[in-house]
Amino acid sequence: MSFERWFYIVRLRLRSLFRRAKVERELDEELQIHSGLTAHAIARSKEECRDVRGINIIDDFVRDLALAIRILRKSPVFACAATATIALGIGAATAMFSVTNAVLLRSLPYRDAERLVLVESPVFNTEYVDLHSRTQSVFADAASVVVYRAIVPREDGGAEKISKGQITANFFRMLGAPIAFGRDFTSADAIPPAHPEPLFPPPDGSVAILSHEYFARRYGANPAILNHEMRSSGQRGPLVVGVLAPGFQLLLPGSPEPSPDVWIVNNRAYDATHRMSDYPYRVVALLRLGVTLNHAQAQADAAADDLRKDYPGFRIHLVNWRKALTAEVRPAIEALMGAVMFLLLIACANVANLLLVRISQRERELAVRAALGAGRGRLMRQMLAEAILLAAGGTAAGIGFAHLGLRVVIHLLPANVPRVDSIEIDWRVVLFSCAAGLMEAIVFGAMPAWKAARADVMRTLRGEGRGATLAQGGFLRNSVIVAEVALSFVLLTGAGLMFRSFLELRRVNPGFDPHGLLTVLAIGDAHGFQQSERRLSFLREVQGGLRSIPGVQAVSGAPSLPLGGTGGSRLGVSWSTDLLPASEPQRADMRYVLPGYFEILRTRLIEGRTFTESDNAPDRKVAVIDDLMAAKAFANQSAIGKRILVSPGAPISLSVIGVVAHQRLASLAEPGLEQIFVTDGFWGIGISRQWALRTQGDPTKIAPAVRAAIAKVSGGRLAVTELQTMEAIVDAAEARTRFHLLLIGFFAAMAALLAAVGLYGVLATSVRQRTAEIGVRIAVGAEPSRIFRLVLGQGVLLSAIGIAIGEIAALGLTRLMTTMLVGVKPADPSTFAAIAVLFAAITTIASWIPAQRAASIDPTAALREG
Amino acid sequence: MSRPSDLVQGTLDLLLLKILALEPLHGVAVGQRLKQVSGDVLHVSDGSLYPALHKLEQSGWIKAEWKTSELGRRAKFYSLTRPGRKQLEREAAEWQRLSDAISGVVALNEA
Repeated sequence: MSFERWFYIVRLRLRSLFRRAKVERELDEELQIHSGLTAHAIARSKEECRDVRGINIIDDFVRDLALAIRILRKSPVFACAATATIALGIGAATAMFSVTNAVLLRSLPYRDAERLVLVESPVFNTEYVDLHSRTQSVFADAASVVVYRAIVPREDGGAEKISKGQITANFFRMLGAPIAFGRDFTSADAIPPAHPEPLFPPPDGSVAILSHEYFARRYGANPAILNHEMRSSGQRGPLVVGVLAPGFQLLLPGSPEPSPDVWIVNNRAYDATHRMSDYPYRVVALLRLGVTLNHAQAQADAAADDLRKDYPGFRIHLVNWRKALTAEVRPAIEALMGAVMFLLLIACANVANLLLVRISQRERELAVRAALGAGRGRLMRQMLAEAILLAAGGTAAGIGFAHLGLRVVIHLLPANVPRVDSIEIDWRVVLFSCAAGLMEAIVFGAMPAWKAARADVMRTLRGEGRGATLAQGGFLRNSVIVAEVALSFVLLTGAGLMFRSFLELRRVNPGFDPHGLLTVLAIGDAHGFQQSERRLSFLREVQGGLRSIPGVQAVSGAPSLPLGGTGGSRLGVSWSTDLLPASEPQRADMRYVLPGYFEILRTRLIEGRTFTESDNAPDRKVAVIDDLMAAKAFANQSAIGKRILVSPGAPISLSVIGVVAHQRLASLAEPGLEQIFVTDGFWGIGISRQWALRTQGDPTKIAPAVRAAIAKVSGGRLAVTELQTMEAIVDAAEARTRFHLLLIGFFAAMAALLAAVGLYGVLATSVRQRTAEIGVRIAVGAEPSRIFRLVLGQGVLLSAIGIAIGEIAALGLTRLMTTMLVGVKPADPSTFAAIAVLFAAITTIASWIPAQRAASIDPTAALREG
Repeated sequence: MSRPSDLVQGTLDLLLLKILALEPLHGVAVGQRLKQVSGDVLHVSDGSLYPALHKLEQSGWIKAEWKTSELGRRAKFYSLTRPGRKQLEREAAEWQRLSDAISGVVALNEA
C-alpha cells in the first residue's frame, strides 16, 4: 500500500476518533439533501457509513467493557478467583523479572558500558605493560584496578577496617565516574605500586580520592578535608585531592568490596625482577569504536603468544564486563525466570478453564443473544472484553504482589548476586508485566471466544445443549487441563531436583567440623612485617592472646578458613612429581596455614603428621596434601616423604609430611581442586588472618572478649571484622541452593495447587452437567461405586496424559538447571519417578471429591431437575 | 432495469471511481451522473451510495471537500486521490479482462 494512501487513511481515522461530533454533523448534513429518504433509511445509511469508518470498534469496545464489568460483578467469586490466579502468575513473573532486569539486563552504570571488557584473570605489572603496548590498535584505553582491605588506626587503640581501591590514573576518566569535589587523579600523582603499601603512613607523595559515602561517614561531608592529609590517631595518611559523586560502585566480579572507601593511584612500570612480589591487577579496557570482542580477542591472543616466551602459560581471555559480572548467576536466574514463565502459563491455563466452564454455564444466555441478532464477532468480542478486564485487574494486583514479594526475594538472594540494590520495579518491569498480562488475556480469552462463536443456537435453545456440547467443550477443557498438568509437572520436577540438591548439600562432608567454632577476620597492614621473624612472632602473640580468653580451648588461623576469608588468599599453582611430569600440567589449590589448623577444624589426618611449631619457619619446605592429590600423584603408594614440585612462579620442591581429608574450601557444592598446604612461616605474607577459636559451649558468648584481646595484643594494627561462627559461614554457603530451592519450590507448589484446582474444576463441571445422565445410570441400576470409578478414572486419565507429556518435557528442560544442582543429575530417574507418584497422588485427591459427589447423586432429584 | 444488487460484485466501486475521475461531484450528483452516462440503465440507491462513497474515502481512494454546490448549498464533493486513480486503472483493466472473457463465452456458436 502506498504511503500516500496511508496518509489519507490515517488522517481520516484520527479525525473520526477525535472530531467525532464534527464528523457526525457533516454526515447529517450530507444526507439531509435527500429529503425523500425515510428516517429509517437515513439511520441505516448513517450506521453503515459509521461502520466503514472503523471507529465503531472502539465504541463497541467501551460498551463491551461496560457490559463485562456488569457481568463480572454478578459473579464476584468467579471474578475474584480468576483475578487472584492471574495476579499470582503476574506477581511472581514481575518479581522475578525485576531481578533479571537489574542483574542481567541493565547496562553497567559506566560510560560506554557495553564497550568495556575485562581481562578475565588478574595480570601482573610486567605483563600489563607488555600487553598494553601490543593491544593499542583494539583498545581505546586500558586501566587497571585492584581492591584491598586496609585499616585506619583509631584513637582508642582499635582500628577501623576500610577498603582501598588501587587504580591507574585514567580509571575514573575511562569509566566516566563523576568527581563531586576536588579533582581526578593525573598521571603525575601516580606512584609505583609497592608491596605492601599501608595507608597509614602512606608512601611519600600519596594522594587519595574518597568515595562520597566515606567522605560523609568520616568527615561529615565537609569539603574542608580537600587538600589535607587523612590524619588519624596522630598518624599521617594520604593527601585527599578529590571526592567521587555519591553512588559510584566498582562492580568487579568476585570482588568482596563493591565500593572502596579510599582510592589510591598507582602507575604501572616495567619491573621484571619483581614479578612475583607484585600485586596482580584486574585490567579493564575500552574497545575502540567498531572493534568487536572477537577481533580484540584475536589481537590479545597474538600478544599473549608473543609474551608466552617470557611468561609461561600466560593467556588473556577478554570478556564483556557486564557478562563477566553476571556469568556466575546467569544460568540460575534464567532457569528461575523460565520456571516463573511456566507458572504464568499455568495460571493462564487455569483462568482459561474457569472461563470455559463459565461459557458452558452461560450457553443459554449466549444462544439467546445470538438468536436476538448478536453476531459471532460481537459475542467473541464480548468474551475477549471479559478476559481483558480480568487480565487488567490481575496485572495491577500482580504488580502490587510483586512489590511486596520483592523484598522477600531480595532478602533471600545469595551473596554472589551482583547489583542487588538496583532491583526495583521500574518502567521496564511494568512494561513487561503489562505485556505478560495482555498475552494472558489473549491466550485465555481466545478459547472461550472461539467457543462462544461456535455456539449452536438451535440445539441449545431446544434444550439439547447440555448433553450435546459436553463432548466437544469437554475436549477443549481437557486439553487445557492436560497442558496444565504437564507444565506443573515440569516445575515440580525442577523443585524435586532442587530439593535433592539441598539434601545432598546438607549431606556433604565438608572435611571439617564447623560446630563450636568462632571465627574472626583480623586484618592489618603488612607494613613493618616484611621480616619473617617479626611477622611470625606477631602472629604468635595474637594466637596467644586469643588462646588466653577463658573458655577457649584452641586457636589457629590461616589467611582464609574454609568457605570464608580474605578472598585473595587462594593461589592456584601447577604441580608435578617424578611420576607425573610437568608435560601434563596439574593444577592445585595451595594455601598456607598456621600450626594447629587441621586439629582445630578436626580435619581427618589420613597419613603421616600435620605441621608443628618447628615446621612454621621460612626454611622448612614441607607440605601436607589432601587425599585427592595423594591419590592422583602417588596412587597405590604412601605419599609420605615424596617430593612435589609446585610452580606458583619459580618451581619449589616440597616434601610431603602428611595426607589429610579433602576440605571444601571455596564452595560447599563443588569439591574444588586438589589441595597443598604449606606453613605460614614458609610461604605467608602479611598479618591479616582469619582465626578459628574452639570453645566450650556457645561460641558467640566470647565475641566481645575476642575484640578486646585483638585490640590489646595488636595495639591498633589489626581491625576486627567478620566475627561469626563457623556454622554461620557454612549456612551462608548454603544460601544459594536454599534460595533456588525456596523460589522454585514456591513456584512448583503454586503450580501444583493451580493444576489440582483446575482438574477439580473440570471434573466438578462435568459432573454437574452430567447430573441427569448419571441420575439415569443410577436409576437403571449402575452401582454408585461404578460411577465413582468412572469420574475418578477421567481425572486419573487426564493427569496420566499430562504427567507423561510433562516427563518428556522435563527431560529436555531440567538440563538448563545443571549449574544449580548439587550431586544430582538433571535427569535423575528417582526424582522423576518420585515426582510422578507425588503428582499422581495430588491429582487423585483432586478427582476424589467430584467423583464422590457423582456417586452420591440422588437419581430422583437429578431426574426431576434434569 | 439493472439495480445495484445485480451489478457484478465490486463494480459499484469501479463505477464510482470512474464517475469521480471525470470531475469532483457531491453524493447526489454522483448518483445522477451514473444514471445519465449509463443511458438510464444503472441506478444506485442512496442507501448503497453513501456507504460505498464513505468506504472509498476511508480506503484512501477518494477524498472529500466541502464546497458550495451549483444550487448554492454546501455539499460534500468527492474527488479521486492519486492512489485512487491508480486503483481505477487497475480495476478498469480487470473489468476489461473479465467482460472480454464473458463476451467471449456468450458469443460462442452453439453446435
